[in-house]
Amino acid sequence: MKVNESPLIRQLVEAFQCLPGVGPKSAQRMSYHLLERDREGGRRIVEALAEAIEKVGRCGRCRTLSEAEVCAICSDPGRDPAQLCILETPADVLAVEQTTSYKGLYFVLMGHLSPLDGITPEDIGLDLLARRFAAGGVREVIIATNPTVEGEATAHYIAEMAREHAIKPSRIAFGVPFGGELEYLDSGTLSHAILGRREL
Amino acid sequence: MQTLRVDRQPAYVLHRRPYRNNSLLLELLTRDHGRVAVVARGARQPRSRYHGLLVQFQPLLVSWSCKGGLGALGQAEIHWTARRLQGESLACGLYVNELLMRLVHRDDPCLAIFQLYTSVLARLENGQADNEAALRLCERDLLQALGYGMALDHDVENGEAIRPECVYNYFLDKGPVLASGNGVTDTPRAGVVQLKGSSLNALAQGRLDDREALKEAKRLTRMTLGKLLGNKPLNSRSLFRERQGAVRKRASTPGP
Ligand SMILES: [Zn+2]
Repeated sequence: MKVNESPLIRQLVEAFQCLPGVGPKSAQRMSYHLLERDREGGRRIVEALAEAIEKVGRCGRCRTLSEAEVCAICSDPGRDPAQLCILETPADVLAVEQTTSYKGLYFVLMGHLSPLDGITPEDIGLDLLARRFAAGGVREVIIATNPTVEGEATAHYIAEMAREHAIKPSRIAFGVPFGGELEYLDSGTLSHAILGRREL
Repeated sequence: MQTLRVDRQPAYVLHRRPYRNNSLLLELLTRDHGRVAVVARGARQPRSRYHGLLVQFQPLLVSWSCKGGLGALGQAEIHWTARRLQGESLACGLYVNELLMRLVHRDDPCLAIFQLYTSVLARLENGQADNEAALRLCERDLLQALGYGMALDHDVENGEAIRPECVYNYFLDKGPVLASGNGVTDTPRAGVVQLKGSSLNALAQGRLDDREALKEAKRLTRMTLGKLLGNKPLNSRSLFRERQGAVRKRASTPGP
C-alpha cells in the first residue's frame, strides 16, 4: 500500500477484497475507478447492496435466497412437488434452472456436511428436510451435491433419510463430460469417472 | 532457516480448505514426515494442474518445500488408484480423518500411523460388512502409536492371561482386572468398562467377528479415546444416523 494513501481509500480497498477472486490489485482498481470516474455508480452499489442485505432472506421451504417468505419456485403451482432436487448453493439452483427442463422443486443446503469444519446435519438444514420428508408428498429426491468427498458423504446421509421415508433417492452422474474426449481429461477426473462407473 | 525439500513422498489428504483467493490449504498425512500443512497454489482454479487430485483417501505422491510454517506443494500425482469410499465407508473414513486431525500433531513423524491409516482405508474399501471391526482396530493401533496403548492380554492386578470365559472391569488408567463375583455386574462407574475376556482377546488379536465383541470393544476404545479427546466431541459422529423406525440390521451404529 502506498505511504500517502488515505485511510478511507485503504479501508475501501480492503473491503472489496472480501469478494471472491478479488485480490489487492483489482480491489485497488475498483476503488480508484469509482472514486475517480463513477461516484454515481458507487452510490447505486451502496444502495442496492444495503437494500439486498436488508431484505433478502431465506425461503422457508427450500432455504434458497429469497425476499419473499416462500420463493417464486416453491410457490409456483406448475411445479411437481413429488420431485425434490437437493443442491448445495443458490447458484446451483440457477444453473439447473437455466440448463435443464427440470420441473420439480428444490432444497438448498447452503453447504455440505463437513465434520472437520464443524458442519453437522442441522447446519445444512437436514432437520427441516426430514420434516419435509415426513410430511409426505415427495416421491423422489435427486441429490445433486458436488462430487467432492463432503458432497458424497452428504448425499449418502440424505439418501438414507429418504429411504427411511420410502422416498426413492437418486444421484446425478459425474465424470466424463458429454462430447469430451478422454485424451484431454485430467487424470483425477478420468480416474473418478472410471471408479464411479455405472452398470449399463 | 534452511529450506526443507521433500520429493515424491507417499501421502494422503486428511483435510482441505479454501485458502486465499484460489488456493487450498491441505493437511497431509505423509509417510516419513507425519502430518504436514501445505498450500496448493491455484488449486481451486478450473485449469489447475492439481484438478481432481487433491482429494481425501486418494493415495498420492507429493513433493513440497518448506521454510518454517506452511509448506508449498509442488508436484502431486496419483500413487495408485484405490477403490473409492462410498456410503457408510466414506463416513467411516471421515471419522478416521477427524480422529487423526484431533490426535496427531503436525511435524511429528510416525510411520506406524501412516501404516495404520493405509490399512484402515484398505479395509473400508471392502465395504460395509467389515467397517466396525476396521475402525476398532484402527483406534487400537492409533492409541498404541500415540503412546496410550491398551493393556489387552493380561489382568493388570494378578498378571494372569485374560480368560475368555471371565468378565473383567477395564479401568481407564490401568487396564483389565478380573471382576469380583465373576459375571455379576457391579454398579457402572466412570472410567470403568465391563467386558468379557473373549472380547479383550478378540480386540488384541484383531479378529472382532461377533456382535458382542464389537460392541464391547467399541465401549472400551471410546472410553480410552475420550481421555485424549477431552470434552470436545467428534463431529463425524453426527454422520452416523440412528435409524429410527427402520429395521435395524445392526446391534449398533458402525461409527464411533
Ligand atoms: Zn423456495
